[in-house]
Amino acid sequence: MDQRIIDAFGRALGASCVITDPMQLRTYECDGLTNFRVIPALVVIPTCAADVQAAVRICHDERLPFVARGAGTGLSGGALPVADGVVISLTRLNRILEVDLANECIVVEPGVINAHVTRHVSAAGYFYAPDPSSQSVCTIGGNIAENAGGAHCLKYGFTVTHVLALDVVLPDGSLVTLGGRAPDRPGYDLAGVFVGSEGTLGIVTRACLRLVKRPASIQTLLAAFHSTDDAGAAVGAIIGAGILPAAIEIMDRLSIVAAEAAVHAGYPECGALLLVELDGPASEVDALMVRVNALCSACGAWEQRLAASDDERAVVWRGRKAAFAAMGRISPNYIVQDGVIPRTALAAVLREIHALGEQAGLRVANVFHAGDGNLHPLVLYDRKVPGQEHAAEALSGEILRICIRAGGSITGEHGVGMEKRAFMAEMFAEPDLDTMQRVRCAFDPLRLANPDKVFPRPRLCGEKTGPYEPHPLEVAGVAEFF
Amino acid sequence: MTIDATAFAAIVGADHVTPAQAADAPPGAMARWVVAPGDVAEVAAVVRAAAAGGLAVVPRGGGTKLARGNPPRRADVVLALHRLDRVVEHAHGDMTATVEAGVPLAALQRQLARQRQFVPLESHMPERATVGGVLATADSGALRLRYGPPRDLVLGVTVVLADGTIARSGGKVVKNVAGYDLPKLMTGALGTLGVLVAATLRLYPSPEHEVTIGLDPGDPAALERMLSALRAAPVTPTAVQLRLAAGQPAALDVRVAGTPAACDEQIAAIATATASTVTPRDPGVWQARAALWHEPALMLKCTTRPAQLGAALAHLAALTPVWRAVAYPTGIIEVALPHAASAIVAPLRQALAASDGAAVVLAGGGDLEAWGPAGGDAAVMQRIKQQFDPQGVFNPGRYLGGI
Repeated sequence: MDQRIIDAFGRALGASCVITDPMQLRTYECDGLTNFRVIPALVVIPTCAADVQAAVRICHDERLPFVARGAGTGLSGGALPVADGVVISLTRLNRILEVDLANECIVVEPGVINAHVTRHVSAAGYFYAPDPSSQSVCTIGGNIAENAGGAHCLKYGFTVTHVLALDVVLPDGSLVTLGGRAPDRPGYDLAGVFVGSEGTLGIVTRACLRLVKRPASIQTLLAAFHSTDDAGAAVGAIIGAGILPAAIEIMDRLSIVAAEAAVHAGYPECGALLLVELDGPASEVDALMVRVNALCSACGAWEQRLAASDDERAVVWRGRKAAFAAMGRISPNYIVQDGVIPRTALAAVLREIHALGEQAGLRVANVFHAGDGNLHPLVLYDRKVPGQEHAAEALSGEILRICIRAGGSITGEHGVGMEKRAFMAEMFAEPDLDTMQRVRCAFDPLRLANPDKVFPRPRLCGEKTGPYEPHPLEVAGVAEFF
Repeated sequence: MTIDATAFAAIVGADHVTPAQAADAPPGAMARWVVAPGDVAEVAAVVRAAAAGGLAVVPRGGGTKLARGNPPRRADVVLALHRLDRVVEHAHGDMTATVEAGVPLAALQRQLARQRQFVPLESHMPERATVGGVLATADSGALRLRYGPPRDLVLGVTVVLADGTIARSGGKVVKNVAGYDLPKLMTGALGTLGVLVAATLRLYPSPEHEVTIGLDPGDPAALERMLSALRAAPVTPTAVQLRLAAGQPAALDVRVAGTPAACDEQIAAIATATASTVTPRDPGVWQARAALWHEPALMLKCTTRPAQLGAALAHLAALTPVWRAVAYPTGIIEVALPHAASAIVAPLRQALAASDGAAVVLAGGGDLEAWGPAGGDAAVMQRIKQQFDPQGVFNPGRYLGGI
């Protein structure tokens, strides 16, 4: 990169906040999806919102693409650098600025770690509901960019449900506040559309997050089944009975074995494990747990264990949240997928995935948020075996196609990023994608903010769009809407 | 190109094009025709024809919220969506429903109730108010406390843009982060970015048992204490509202749901936390918001940070001797005022702005600017409008900041 530009960043932010050393730049070459790697031209590490703004202004003036980065735990390559661009790391904006319990909210900078938000308010009886499995390291800014979910979003909603207001540096360097602490600010819900935009609309410098009162009682059940079909049937029975658990998760045999090897959660050895968490008033949780027990038994659960204390519950969740990383125990390499299907299609889709795995000669482990149909198939392979990586990628893509055909989505919480761009054109028709580009053009007409992510082949702002053409699924009679 | 009724009749059939009456368009505007397309393709064709002819289009559902916003600068075509009234799919196992925009809310709830489910959307006049209209206006009520604002219930939308493009976004599943969340953008946009023609909604199980109780807070200071005690108490009510009128003590209604034992437990916890006696109340009290609309009035929606609700009510009471209101602990107050009270809107806006709040005119505002001042993000909103509807086909001038 031109020394003149590097100097400009140095003058604006201070030389200690600008990284040019090739070895250090390499630290930023990838995020949690390590098979894409690009070394950026420059990394800047601002310490305050004004410095973020200054950095973005230079990018705008010099027409330099920039990529915002939090903890780099993303699983879709959303924080993958651009080779001739700048990475703006937000990890030093890590202050909790204000706790406002009267209004049940907290104001934080984007580099604050997810779990630290809950830790900060738990003594007062509150928690921050979105709980991605990486919550002990991932940052709020990244959560906002990805609209992160987690096991408890079935009942409590996603990151977007919990963002009240955002300070955002737009790609032209201006700083705006979106949303507010009072509900329904007049005008378009820009905070709502910003959350989940994967860094393509600007950079968050401050967020006001909703806090949730800790429920009076929490109980977590582990139920062992012979098969994922049986566990899936139990999920259907529980939801069908009008019970809305705080979380309801399934792990299949492979992922149980891996999690056990990694964290010794004490899971029963079984074909499928169902984890059901109920929360609310004590008598309600007690009464509903009796019903959940009965429904699980009726669906073939042969062992049910209740984790009643906080410690027991923590152990149960540690196994579940370590499941991805635990795959390293049973396979040299793996691909994590993040498809969503209508919950009622669960059994059929799992069978289809299993059959595809057999065909490809690859093992597929499954860990999923069963309540909302969010699957995390883990395709296991060995890079050293010629052809296996390619086969695993192909299988992983086929799994996404199964989700699309079932009326679902290619991503429930990990984002499209770099990885699933091509699948956007399979999930959405051309006019749908063009309509999203209109939003992009309103925020970032020069396409400087995280360019080349999310969308397969973005049209240029100002480019004419063609007339409406029906979606292939519509023509096939599969879908009338969407 | 000059467009007349025959052009629209050629698309939707002559029976579905009628000359507009004054009541068909938003107050202060006069439309030429009411055009009622029968499906999404016809909506797109009507919009395309209107746009080609340089005409303005006002999308309309049940017409219960026509007074929202400022009078449009032009309103040539009222696009009536009542013929798009199909419940396309009630996927009860997945707890979702895909519906066309013109489905009346009450009709939808009746259909969902067959599977003991409901969608936590609310509106006055639910027999007439349509799903599309409730979403376009982001209307909400007492259920919002527990189930969130309307935008959190919308999983996917189909919209017709000003150039006739039919675009879908979001999806049919409850969890989905593929691409921008356009359902959020469309909810509350008052049809200024596109015509909402269909939506997929997240549903909830109907509570098996509900109890409504009342608390009588007495003076405003006690009210403030009671609301904050209720907020901190280990209870999760499904609805909370305050019924208020000038010169009368406030009534606080709370609804709890769950098993009968859990309801009893919550009621006991509420009594303990608020140090107050609780009395059973008729569920009819939840009609209070709808009742505000029975007589023509200047209707306002005031917003504030939740903890400043009491202060906002005090501002209101200090500004006018005559008012009725229903307030929610989420920080929303719906107020009915005599038309003559319009002078209080400006000072009220000033007072509410201190807590991020606003006072939006819902109806009966006459010459009052409906939204109040735009914020620092107004330029982004203008650019979004420019991208979606550069010609200003949809509801021109009706939205915030002249959009």
